[in-house]
Amino acid sequence: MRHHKNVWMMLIVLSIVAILFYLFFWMLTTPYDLFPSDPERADRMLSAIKSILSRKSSQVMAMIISAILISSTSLIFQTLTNNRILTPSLIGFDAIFVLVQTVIVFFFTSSSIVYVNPYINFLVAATLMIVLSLLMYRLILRKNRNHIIFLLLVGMVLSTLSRSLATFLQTVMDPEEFQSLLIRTEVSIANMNTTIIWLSLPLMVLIVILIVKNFRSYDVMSLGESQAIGLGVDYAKKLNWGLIYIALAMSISTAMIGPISFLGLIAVNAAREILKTYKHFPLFIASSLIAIIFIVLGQGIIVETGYLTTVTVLISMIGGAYMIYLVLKENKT
Amino acid sequence: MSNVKLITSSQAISMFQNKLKWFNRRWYLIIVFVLLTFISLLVGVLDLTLIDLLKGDAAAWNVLWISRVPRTVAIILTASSLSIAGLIMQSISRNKFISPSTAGTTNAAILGVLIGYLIMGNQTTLIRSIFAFAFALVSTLIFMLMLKKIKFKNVIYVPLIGMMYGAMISSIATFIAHRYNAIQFLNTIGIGGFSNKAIGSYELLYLVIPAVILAIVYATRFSIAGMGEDFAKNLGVSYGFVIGVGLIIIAVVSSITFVMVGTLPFVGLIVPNLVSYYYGDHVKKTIVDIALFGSSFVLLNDIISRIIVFPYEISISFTMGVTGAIIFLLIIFRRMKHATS
Repeated sequence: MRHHKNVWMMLIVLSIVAILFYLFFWMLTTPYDLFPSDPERADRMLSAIKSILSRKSSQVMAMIISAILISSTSLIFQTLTNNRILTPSLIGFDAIFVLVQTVIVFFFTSSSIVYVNPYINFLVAATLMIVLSLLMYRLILRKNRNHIIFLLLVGMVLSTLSRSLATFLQTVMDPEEFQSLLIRTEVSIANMNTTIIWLSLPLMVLIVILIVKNFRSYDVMSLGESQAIGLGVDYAKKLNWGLIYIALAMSISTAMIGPISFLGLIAVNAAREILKTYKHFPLFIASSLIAIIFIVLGQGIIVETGYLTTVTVLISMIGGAYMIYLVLKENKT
Repeated sequence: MSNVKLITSSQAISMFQNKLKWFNRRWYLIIVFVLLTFISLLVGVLDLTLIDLLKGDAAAWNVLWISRVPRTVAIILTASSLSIAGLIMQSISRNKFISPSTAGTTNAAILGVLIGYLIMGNQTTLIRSIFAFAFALVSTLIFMLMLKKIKFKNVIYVPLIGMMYGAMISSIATFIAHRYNAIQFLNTIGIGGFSNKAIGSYELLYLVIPAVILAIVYATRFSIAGMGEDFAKNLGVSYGFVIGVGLIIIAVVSSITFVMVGTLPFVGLIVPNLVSYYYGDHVKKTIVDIALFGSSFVLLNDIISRIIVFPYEISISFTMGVTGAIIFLLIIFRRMKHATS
């Protein structure tokens, strides 16, 4: 227990350090005098600092929201699939997101309210994505619940399909419309869409509450399907709802920071390795903290070092190597 | 006595009918293939009619030889070799969902072309292909070794791991490209298609012919190797050698076609699956059908992408992405039904 206390302390301190680093480190390296004696310049400097800080804090906020969503949904996805290596990002929500945005521009034009207003746009896109994923779930999970792994394969094929369809629509689209489409589809961690954080924050809180409320059932479900049913868990219902949370969470994080495929894998597995527990609640907290550390600290370092690469690439490299390690280790035990 | 005789003769008849059916099926394929080849030769922006050709119009024959024939030949070579590579990969890994695109081979070819560019600058397509080949071979080998170590060999789990492995290789390529300012070059790798294939720009594709011949020669041995190492050894097949030959064929085909025409989604995946559904898993018997079927499928897609926005054309990878995805989904659903029932 004592050992765990240290771990928690370390994780919390590290995530705070990461956030502070992201917010304030630039002040130490900037060549400008941040607190000039001239009152007029001091005023201007102050407002500049304020605007930088507000931009950076909304970016941090977007990253934290996404980190929590990604790690919590990866955690329950691993429980539902009964597999430690799969993450919901394999379903390919990013391709579906791009297709949805393309369809919106194609049929409503880029000057319509559905596209211009970020909130309405997000709501429409998220609704469409959830409807699409529900259709997919219905189609595949209707007959046999064990087919969740088929879901991944179908998702992967659907993402190729939607990528092809989106590219086709984009080729026949008006060039100016295409230009304005890029604003929404070229979302990545280096180019975050922070306009919707005030919408996604309450949604995230809602999803997290719903997921946390179900943690007891998920604890039982991680024993396996027949055991869970034997112990009185309505497995099919929990599975369906879990998949709905996943679709919602993935739409939010994809709309804000774009796809980050291996983050969930790293965070959840690292949490499992550190805590050596199967209980969902501590795993959830630890994996969220690890995801925050990874993404905020990583992005902070990359911003400060002049964008040598991107966090997504770094996380994919580390995550891929970690995955191979996990695959090989699973074999030994 | 007469009863027994009756049964045997009816069996003989049914066997004969089966043989006939087999021939019929192949003949259908051949007819479709020839028909599509003709259409592919005749479709295009420049007017080219059979009558002109028969009259011996020099301009018409020029169009045919300089642009139409190279394109059609390129399609046939690419499609048949990719389908065969997919077949080999699926039979030696005993998994119907594996192909060069779901095992990191294509991603490794991209990495290879990038490294080649960084070391030697702009190079000929031959050198590009050699780099792509070396990386594709090593990466496929690593994936196969990894596959051997995986305990939980679920049919779908394995290609998912393959795709994550491919994503990791891609991220390494992106990382290197970021460091050496080659992102722009990286984005141009693998953009191809058949639209620019004319005399002088497709001949390298002939290099896949030896690989295809080798594949046909080794066909039976691939089926045996697919039954497992011990089984293959019992039958006197040198397992490691056969797997090695298979990997080399896969790497040659996927690197050359990738460098020359870019990615063609789903060919290596769905063509062997569809053919094995109708013709069974016997590699030696199906390999020709797979080549024919794969070529017809890609020819059809190429014709569609040439006429859908005529006189322009859309990239074949989009057409293939759509038609291939739909067919692949049907395959998956059918498999799911089998699994449930």
